Amino acid sequence: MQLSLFVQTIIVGIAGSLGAVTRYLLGRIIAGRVGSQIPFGTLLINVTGAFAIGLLFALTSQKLLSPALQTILATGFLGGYTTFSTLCWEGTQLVRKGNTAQSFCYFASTFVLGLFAALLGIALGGML
Amino acid sequence: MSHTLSLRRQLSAVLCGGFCGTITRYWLSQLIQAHLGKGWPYDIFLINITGALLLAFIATLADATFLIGPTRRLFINVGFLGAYTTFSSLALGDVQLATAGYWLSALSYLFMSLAVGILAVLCGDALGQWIINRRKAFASAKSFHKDK
Repeated sequence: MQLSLFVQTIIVGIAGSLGAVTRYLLGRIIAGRVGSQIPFGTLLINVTGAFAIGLLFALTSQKLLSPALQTILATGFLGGYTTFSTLCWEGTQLVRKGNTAQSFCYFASTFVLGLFAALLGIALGGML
Repeated sequence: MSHTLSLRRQLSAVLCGGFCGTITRYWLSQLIQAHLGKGWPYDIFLINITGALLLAFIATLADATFLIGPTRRLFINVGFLGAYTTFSSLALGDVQLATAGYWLSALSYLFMSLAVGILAVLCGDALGQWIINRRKAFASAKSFHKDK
């Protein structure tokens, strides 16, 4: 699949906009069900996104997925789906509200689970 | 706050913001890689840090209901900056550095992202507060002259 740079950019943008809407809806649903101070919505979104990007990377390395499709799905959809800015903002807000321990748990669990999920995705994709 | 907007309006704001944010990241990432190389992931690092700074700045203005209303907040913060910054590429980039044996790069990428990201949020917040305070001071000075 060979696309011109312009078409590729537009498709990446569309994939990213769908990722952003998925994140917004999923975040709202989870926030409505879990009445917790820790933003589990963003945590779940970032960890599942990290798993999926590892899986896509492994599938592309094995030539099961074209690099163009990897760019659309990983840079586009998953890039729009996961977020770093909200993570930092939410973690800092927890400290401001006096929940320093919860803030630490939030940052630590996002990074530990996120890196582990990416590794797991790469390993699982390698087995396929 | 955002619940007063119709779902369709909320989703369009996030959709449009997400489209622009993703394209900006895609384009900026290629630009940064062309200038600074692919050795250390400068592109995602710089994108994430600037996004965190802007998000805190906009959220502070929105909380004070200054310039930023609910729709703009959804467009800029949830849509644009949410899609502009990314966690998945950060996680994958870090794992790739670590599995390639570049432990120092992997650790510095991880901790720099976290530490500078939090610092960026604090700076964005302070910047927003400074602008709000200036505006308040300006408004009260104006009303003082009017009273005289």
